[in-house]
Amino acid sequence: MAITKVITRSNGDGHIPLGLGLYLHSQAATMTQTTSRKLTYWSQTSLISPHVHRRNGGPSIYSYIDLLAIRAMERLRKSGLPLQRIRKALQFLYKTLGSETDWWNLKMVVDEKDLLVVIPRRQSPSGRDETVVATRGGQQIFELVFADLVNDLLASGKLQPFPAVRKHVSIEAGIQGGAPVIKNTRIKTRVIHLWHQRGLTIKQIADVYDGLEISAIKAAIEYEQALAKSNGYENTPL
Amino acid sequence: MRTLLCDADIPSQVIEVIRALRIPVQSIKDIPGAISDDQKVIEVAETFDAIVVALDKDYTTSRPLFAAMVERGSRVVILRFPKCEPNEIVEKLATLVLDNHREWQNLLDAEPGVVSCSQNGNRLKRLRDFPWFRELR
Repeated sequence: MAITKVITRSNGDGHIPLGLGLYLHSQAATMTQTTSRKLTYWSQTSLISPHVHRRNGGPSIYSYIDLLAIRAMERLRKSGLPLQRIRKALQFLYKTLGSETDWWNLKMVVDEKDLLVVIPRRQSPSGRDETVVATRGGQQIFELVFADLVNDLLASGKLQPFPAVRKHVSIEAGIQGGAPVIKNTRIKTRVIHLWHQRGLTIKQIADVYDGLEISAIKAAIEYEQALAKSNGYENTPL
Repeated sequence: MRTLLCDADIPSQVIEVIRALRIPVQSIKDIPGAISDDQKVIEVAETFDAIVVALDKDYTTSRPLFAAMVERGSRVVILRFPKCEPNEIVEKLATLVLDNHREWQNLLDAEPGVVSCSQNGNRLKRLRDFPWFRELR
């Protein structure tokens, strides 16, 4: 099964790399082998919205699960499924991928009538392969193994961009209303970037904020610069 | 006089200067549990009956947070960045607070709201005056 391949190609500790998000719009397009324009369209039509962050008039940030959903979307579209069924399939994917289930062992099967989810025997209570009907109605026969979505992402070779950003920047709905901040500080990365634009050196910024780590300041600036570059977005003029 | 509750974006030197002049001020980062929890910030602002002071960057993202604070009875001041040389940033921010804090107390005395403060002065807006707030509701 594809899962074996995923584990051997993962980060070496035997786990499928579950990212923490922070995939900029353009990166998400590259990693999922799709186009930036398609992502924008899917976001506008609420098929796949960036779940991490959406700054008004600025770039979007996708989560790892969004990336998997984008890959699923590409595969399902190629199968010729009607959009309404794809929408339902994606809703199911989000629900499953975001849960505690060992989702990478699941596969989605679209047969002549229904969209089914196959639960492999090691995960099913009965000890046998089981199927669950996810949506009803349909014509095509199609099979989507969830682990293959991870393989698709690994194929891009860019699964963990900006390691420093991931270490130092966090985006959480309950902190500063979801604005990107330096971890454990509430200090917005945008403010750090602005100080830098205003001519303060990294050392001076560290002094202004009582010895904030140099690496965290660099990560905040790198992150905001990447955001500014993505989609040709520029920060508010000074 | 209401306490000024400064968000973590306000440099600590600015807070030290304000405190040295015996103006009641508190930094959010000094309040246990508040750094990682907006809800806690809202509760503290309500308990202190404080004026929350924040920088205007990423204001769009923070709007729901400010709205929640004002709805719970807190007053909010958004500081707009002064134009200055890099070595003047702390000084200018501190001056902005010192020159305007009394006016904030007066402006925000009657009713909770949001004051936008710049070198050109203060502008008070009630939540209901913001189009984004009407959209939120």
